[in-house]
This record gives sequence, structure tokens and C-alpha cells, in this order.
Amino acid sequence: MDTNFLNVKNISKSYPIKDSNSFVTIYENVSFSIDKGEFICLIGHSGCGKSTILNNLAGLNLVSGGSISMQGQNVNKPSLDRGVIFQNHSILPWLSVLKNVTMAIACKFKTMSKADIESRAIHFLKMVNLDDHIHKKPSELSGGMKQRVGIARAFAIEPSLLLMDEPFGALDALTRGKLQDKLVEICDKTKQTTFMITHDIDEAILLSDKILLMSDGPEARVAETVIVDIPKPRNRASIVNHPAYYVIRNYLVDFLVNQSSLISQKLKTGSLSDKDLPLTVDPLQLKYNLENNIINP
Amino acid sequence: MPVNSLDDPFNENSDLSHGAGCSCKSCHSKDVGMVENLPSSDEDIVNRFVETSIVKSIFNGNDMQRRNFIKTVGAGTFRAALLSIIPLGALQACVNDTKKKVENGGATNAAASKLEKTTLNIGFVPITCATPIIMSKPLGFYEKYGLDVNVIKTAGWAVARDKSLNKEYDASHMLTPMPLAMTMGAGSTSANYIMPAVENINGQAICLHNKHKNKRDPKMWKGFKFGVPFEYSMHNFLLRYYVAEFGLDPDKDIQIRVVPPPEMVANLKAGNLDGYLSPDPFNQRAVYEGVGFLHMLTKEIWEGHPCCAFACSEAFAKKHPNTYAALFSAIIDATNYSSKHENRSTISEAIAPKNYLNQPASVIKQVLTGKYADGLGNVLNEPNRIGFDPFPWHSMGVWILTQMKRWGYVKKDIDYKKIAEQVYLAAECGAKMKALGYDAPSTTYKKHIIMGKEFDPNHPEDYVNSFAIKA
Amino acid sequence: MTMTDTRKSILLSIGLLFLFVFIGELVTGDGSRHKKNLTEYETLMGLGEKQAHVPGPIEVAKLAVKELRHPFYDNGPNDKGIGTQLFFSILRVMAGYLLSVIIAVPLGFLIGMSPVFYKALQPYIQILKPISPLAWMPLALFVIKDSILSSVFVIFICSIWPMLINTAFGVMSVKSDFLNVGKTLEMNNVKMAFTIILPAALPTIFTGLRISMGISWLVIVAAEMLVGGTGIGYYVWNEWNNLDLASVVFSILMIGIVGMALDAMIAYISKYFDYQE
Repeated sequence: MDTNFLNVKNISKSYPIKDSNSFVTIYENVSFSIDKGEFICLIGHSGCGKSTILNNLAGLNLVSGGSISMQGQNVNKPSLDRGVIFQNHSILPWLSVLKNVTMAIACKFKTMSKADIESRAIHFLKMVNLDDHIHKKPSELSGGMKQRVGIARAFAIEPSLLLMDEPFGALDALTRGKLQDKLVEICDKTKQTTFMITHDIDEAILLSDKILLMSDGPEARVAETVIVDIPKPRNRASIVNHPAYYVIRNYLVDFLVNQSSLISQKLKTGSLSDKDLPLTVDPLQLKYNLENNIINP
Repeated sequence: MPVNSLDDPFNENSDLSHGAGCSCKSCHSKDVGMVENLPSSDEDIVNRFVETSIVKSIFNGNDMQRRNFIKTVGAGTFRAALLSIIPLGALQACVNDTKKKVENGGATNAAASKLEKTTLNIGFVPITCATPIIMSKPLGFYEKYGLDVNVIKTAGWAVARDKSLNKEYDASHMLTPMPLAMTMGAGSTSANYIMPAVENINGQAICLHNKHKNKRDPKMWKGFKFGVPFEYSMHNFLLRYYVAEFGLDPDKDIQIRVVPPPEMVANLKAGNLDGYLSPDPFNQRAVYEGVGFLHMLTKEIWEGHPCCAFACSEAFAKKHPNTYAALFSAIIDATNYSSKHENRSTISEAIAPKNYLNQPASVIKQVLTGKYADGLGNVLNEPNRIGFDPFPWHSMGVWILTQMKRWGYVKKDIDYKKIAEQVYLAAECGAKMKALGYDAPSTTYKKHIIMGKEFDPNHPEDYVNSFAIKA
Repeated sequence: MTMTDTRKSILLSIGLLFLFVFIGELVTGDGSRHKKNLTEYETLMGLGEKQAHVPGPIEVAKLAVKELRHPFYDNGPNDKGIGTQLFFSILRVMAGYLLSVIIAVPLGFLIGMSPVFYKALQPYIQILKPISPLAWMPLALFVIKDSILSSVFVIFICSIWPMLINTAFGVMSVKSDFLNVGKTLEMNNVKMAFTIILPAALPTIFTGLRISMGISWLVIVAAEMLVGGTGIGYYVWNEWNNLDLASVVFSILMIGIVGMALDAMIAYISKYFDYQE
């Protein structure tokens, strides 16, 4: 029996190709696990199926093969135990900021009184500094503020696992930075188990305990698990001064620029086999040779 | 109220010489001591009236003589003597019965309680043919028979027919061919309709656009577009008959379109129609608006032809016999009133307002009085331009059926007389007319002359076959 | 002095009105034939009376004042005030319209929820939608056997399609993100329908409701012209009978104003359910 909080075993996803009898496989043989309180980021090129994996975890989209279990329970439908912060915030535009949050709370805590629901919502909105805007409609908010509503909504239902799909992808750099700080602060406080998809390497290093790297799709894999061994609490300003920061950063850049496609090719030619994946890598312990593109443990 | 004349005739002190309008002192003073034992109920008044009349007549109206005689022999003896020679009781009962019958016939409001239904909806299409139906409302003919009638304006005959079939209308103004067609189920669902009375005779005209002033010969009408108010209308049949007599096939040489009468003038003006055979006032209105002229009146095609009708479902008449009878009487009365030329001006004013025809009274007056401008520069005087005669000749029904057969509206073989007799209640109408004191024909069939050609209702099929042009 | 654009546009509107009245008066007459010492023929031809004519703006305005002073007069079943006629028309429109709201919105909802159902019904909706509402009238009269209910039915049948299509479309095009929000909150179907799909689709539904209201108001005029009795359509028809074009123009204006008011009403209500993303 697995002792991990969340276990993903050999999942794959394939779709039938229109007007033909064949299938296209987005990813396969994806396995990883998350421990309680861990913050995991998933990085990969577009089209490798990141969002699909997140949807699998959320239960919004089912895997074609393999299994996902959380706390021993098979994941096959959405659950209030897994909160989702969507890429485009998905705040319901016809509800006020407050109502967006209270609606979610009411779904989770069915017996809670109205007043309690409201004060709980206000508490979480305060946490993301939106307490001055609770009666506004989403259309009156900036993109960053909307995403903060999404964060408040997700945290307010106290999910066992928080899933974030490129939550800051659509924001400008300044806003993104502020929100990252906010997220660091909240996660440190709540020890929230989190799975996040991002394109942003710096964001991943700032937030993660582990970073999952995906090879290129189709037939993508989670190729490596990179350990981010930088002590917490972290913050955006000082983390760049940590000796491990650029090592990890360079490693990730190298992976995305060179290795991700190389690994796909190796998998195709058979020079790399699924049973070897994912490699667990600690860049600080590594010497790597950019010229040869070879990992030398 | 002077009541002396109803005083006890067997009382030597009573004075019977005073009538209802008596102006003598004793009739107007409060202390008329002699008046005693006055009858109270309706029936008692009648009884007293009968007694009084008899007693009066015995003494030749000489009241002094009566009083002296009673003084001499005594009232009791006189009454007994009188009863031995005259069945006074029976006489009184008889008069009372007669009075009730008169009331049931609808002569007074007192009978209204016996009507099964007093509030009625009657549809009409706003044309002068509907005069009796319409003017019965403002001139109080319905009211006189205890009926509260809403006369409801209707856009056209298809709607009038449907609303009648739907029972929204209790009775309706229709075209004489319509109840026949409806009964046969031609052009609608089959429902038994009865036509107790014709509304008007004559009263239609062929109206042409002013641009055709020099095309008075129907032979020149090839390709013309004509409007008629309804397929099952005398207008359609008369127009077809007329052009066919001039050698035109109405189905091939001209176009006949159904246009609701109110839309005729606008269509003529717009050039959508070259002319129409339409009900008035729309012929006269076209003249009045300077759009068209009157080519001819339909009375020149068939003098006395029927046109519009008063009709209702057989079911209505059976379910509400008294109401039906009262309504029938009102219509007959109104039709008779309309037929009198001296009333025509009054009627014109009464039916002109928005609630009824919504037409200039001067136009309606020209139609009803028959003194009219023809649009060609002439003032014509034709008092019989429109007539009102309720009697629904069975022979007219048969003629209409022959034309329906002739033009293919009815394909199957039909029993002309049977249908005509079922739908046109000529006998009933005649009886009603007589009961109300009007002259009525004693037969229900007669020969008609249409454009010089005789129609014999006894040989309808031969008549149909006698035409060269037919569908 | 400078003027705001609003003020400019108001002044321009008023200017255009005056121009319209001026030109209107120039090109129209009052129908009188200005002839004296008429012969009998001329009298009968109506040369002493007013002829049917296209009315000028002032004549219409005068008539409007007269009619609107007693909007609810009652001179018998065939002659009632403009207010009464409009009231009857609005009543019928509302009856037919609400009936179709009651049916079209839930039905459209179900159709929108099921793509298969949507596709299956499309051909029928597409055939039924463009049928002229008045073409339904004879059928309605025949089947329903009541002219008022028939006009209500005609309103119903012509206003249902835009509602149905828009509701279905609105429901179908609810963003999957919104649906995902509901799913992750473990909402059941009913709750999902009422808290996510309905509010999300309401602006689209209201677009349908507005289109339908416009159509209903167009149709009632035509329907009442056909069956008569009461209503603004009958009023127009009755005045047309008499070639009284001033009244016709007046009622056209009233039809326009009421139509605008009805549209504004739906627009006003829809504001409460509208949202911006």
C-alpha cells in the first residue's frame, strides 16, 4: 500500500483521431507522487498534456490508462477535497466577489450558517487583500484581482490538494510577482499540498519542493523530478542570491531547451526505457556537460 | 294616474267614461272617492277590462244609462244575468292567453325573462347590406324584443364564418351562398347552417377604375383583375355570370381575386385591381374618392337578386328557440323598416359612425337613397338601388347552387331543392312576416330572370347545362 | 461657448423634427377640395367634403391630442379609445408571450443540455421558424375555435422560436470553465443548472426574449387586422376602412411607441441578469 498522499501510476491519455480508427497518445507511463504538504510544479512544453494531467488529478477528465489515488481513494470524479485554480481564473462574472467565494464555501460546508459563510469568505478575501472590493462584480476587477478571488475561493474550501493551472500565466510580470509572494506567504502558513502547472521557471523554483519535467509530446512522459533544495520560507527578492538558484535554473533551462526533445527521441529509438523514468535529479549534486548534452551522475 | 275607466263596471257609482288620457277634473284630483275595488294584478286588469268592455258595449257606451240600470236591478242580478248569456270567464282567459302569446312573440319587454339567452354577439362585415343587422342596434329593434345584442364588426367573411363556427358569434351577417356552402362543407367544415332571412336585395355594383372609362363593353375586359368579397358570394357568381354572357370565361379571360370589401378602394387606387363587384359603400366610396366609376348596378343583371343574409347555426336556433324567435322578429322588423325609403336618411346617419360602418354619411346616403353620382358626371336616381326584403326564396337558393355547380365549387351531384329548403327557411320566414303583420309570398319558388334569361328552379341541372361557358 | 455632444445631438434632433414637420406640411394637404357653389353632382362626389389624403404632421398631432385626451372612451364594441385598444393588444401579446416563455425557456434549456437533442430538433425548428405567423391563423381559428385564443396562439407560435433557439444556444455555449467550477464544487445537475448554467446563459436567453417581444408586437397588429374585434390592429384596420390615414398614421406612431416601450422593458429587466466578463 502506498504511503504517499497522492499516487499517480502509469497514467496515459489518448484521443481517437477524427475520421480514422487510430488514436493519438498525449502522454503515457506517467508516474509520480506527492507527499502531504508538498508543493509540486509541473513544467513542460505546450502540447505535452500538462493541463490534461491537472484535469485528471481534479477528476474533471479521466485517464485512459493507469490510476490516480489520493489518500487511498481512487480519483475518478471532481471532489471538494481538490480545489482548482483555473488558468483563466473562472470567476463567475454574474456574482460579486463575495458571492463567488460564499457560493463555494456553501458547497463545501453544507451546514454552516449564512453569517459564518460570509465571515469565512471575508477572511479569505482579506488574506488576498480584496476585502475592500467584496461587493464588486468581477468585470470591475483587474486580472490580478480576479485571480486573487480564485485563490481565495480555492483556499476557502480548505481542499486537501490544491491544483493550479498556470494561475498567473495571463498576468503582467509585476502583478505576477506580487501574487507569487502572496502565494508563498499563504502556502507557508497553511502547509497546503499543491500541484501547480507553470511555464515560468522562476516561479517554479520559488514555490516548489519538487519540479516535474515533462518530455515533449505526443507520447510525453514525466521525465525527471528535480529537487529544489532551497530552504523555506523563501521570498522573491532573496532567493536569487541562494547558491542553488542558478544551478537549478540553468538545469531547468537546459532541460527545456535541449533535453525534453532529446528524451522523446531516445524513447522512440528505444535508447531510453520507461522503467528508468522519471529520474530523480538534484542539480546541486550534478555535473553536467552542456556540450555533450549528457547527464553525468 | 287616471284609472276610472278600469273601475268596477257593476258598480252604479263608478264612472267608466274616462279614458287613459282624460283631462277632466275628477281624474286629476286626489279625492276621487268613487274609485274603489281597483284590479291589482296584470291578469285582473285584463279581466276587468273584458268585463268593462262588454258592459260598456251593452249600453252602447252610455255610462249614465248603465248606472241607472244597475241602480234599478242591482249589481248582483245584472252580473248573473250577463254570465248566463256570455261565457265571461272563458272570454277573460282567452284574452289573457292571447296577451301572453303576443308577449312571447316578443312584442314587449315583459317577455324578456322567457328568453334562453338575452346577450348575443352578432357579427357583421361593415357594408350597407348589413343595414338591418347593424341599425337594429342604434335604432333599438333588438332592445324592443328584450335582446342585448353586441354587433361586432368583422374583417371579412372567412372570419365571420370561422367565428360563427366557433360559436363566438351567435348569429352573423353572411352572404346568401355561405350557409349553403357551409352546410355542404364547401370551403369549410360542414356544419348545419340555417338562413332564416335575406338581408338585402340588389345593392351591389360593378365599379371600374377611372382609366377604364372608355372600356364600357365587357368584351374589352380581357386580362382585367377583378375583386370580389368572397368566393361564396353573389358578387362572385354575378360577376362570373355577367362576363360569361359577354363571352369571357371568368376563370381564363379575367382574374378574380378575393379582396375584403374594406380593402377594395385602396387596391383599386393602387392599381392592383381594374375593378370589382363589391358591396357598397365601397363602390360609391371609390367614386367619392375620385378613383373609380360605377359601370353598372347589379340590379341591372338580376333585378331583385339576393345578396347578404342573416344566418346562424341550426344548433343555436334549436337550443334557444325563444331567443331565436325574438331575434328573427327583430331582424324582420328591421328589414321592413329599412325597406321604407322614408327611413333611409335616418338609417344612413345611424350606421355611419366608427362603431358601425365608419364611412362618410354622405356616401352611405347615396347608396341607401339611390340618388347618387356615378363618377361619370351624372347624378342618377334609382330608389331601388338597394332593397331590403327578408324572404329567402328557395328558388334563389337553387340558383346559387346552380352557379356553384356551374363554376365547379361543387363537383358532386346535389339535390338542389333539398339543400335550399334545408338552409333557407322560407316558410318560417313567411309565417313570421305574416305574424308581424307584413305581407309575405305564399310560395317559396318562383322563376327569376337574369340578364333576360329565365331560370326555372324546377330544372336546375338543365339550367347549368344550358350555359356555354362553365368550369 | 462650447456645447457638449449630448446637447448638440438634442438640438440636432429637435432641428430634424422641425424640418420633418415643415417638409411634411409642405408635401401633404388636408384633403379638402376647396370648391364652392357645388352642383348636385359635385356635392355627391364629395367635393364639399374632405377627401382621403396623406395627413401632414400637424393634422396627426391634433388627432393624437384628441385621441389621447380620451384614451379609454367606449362608443360600443366596435369603437373604443386607443388606450383600450392598446390595452387589449398588450394583454394578448403578454398572454402569448408568457406562455412561450414558460415553454420555450425550460425546453430550450433541455435542448441546450443535450447536443444530440439539439441536432435532432434543428431541422424542425428551422422549418417552423420562418413560417409567417399569420399563416398559422386559419389553422388556429379552425382548431382552437376562438379568435382571441387564436391570436394568443399566433403570438405564442411566433415568439417561441427565437426564445427556444437562444436559450438552447446560450445553454450550449456556457463556458466549460464555469461548468468545471461547478463540477469541482461537487454540484449536482439541478444545482448546476440553476447556479451556473442559467445565470451564465441568461444574457443570451434575454436576447431571444427581446427578439421575441419585437416579433410578438409586430404579429399582434397583423393578427388583429385579420380577426378584428379589439386591439390596435383592429383600430388600424377600422380606420383604413374609412381611408382615414391620419388615424392610421397616429396608430402607427402608437404602435411604434408601445413597441419601443415593450422592448425597453425587456432590456431593462435583462440588465439585472447581464454580466460582463
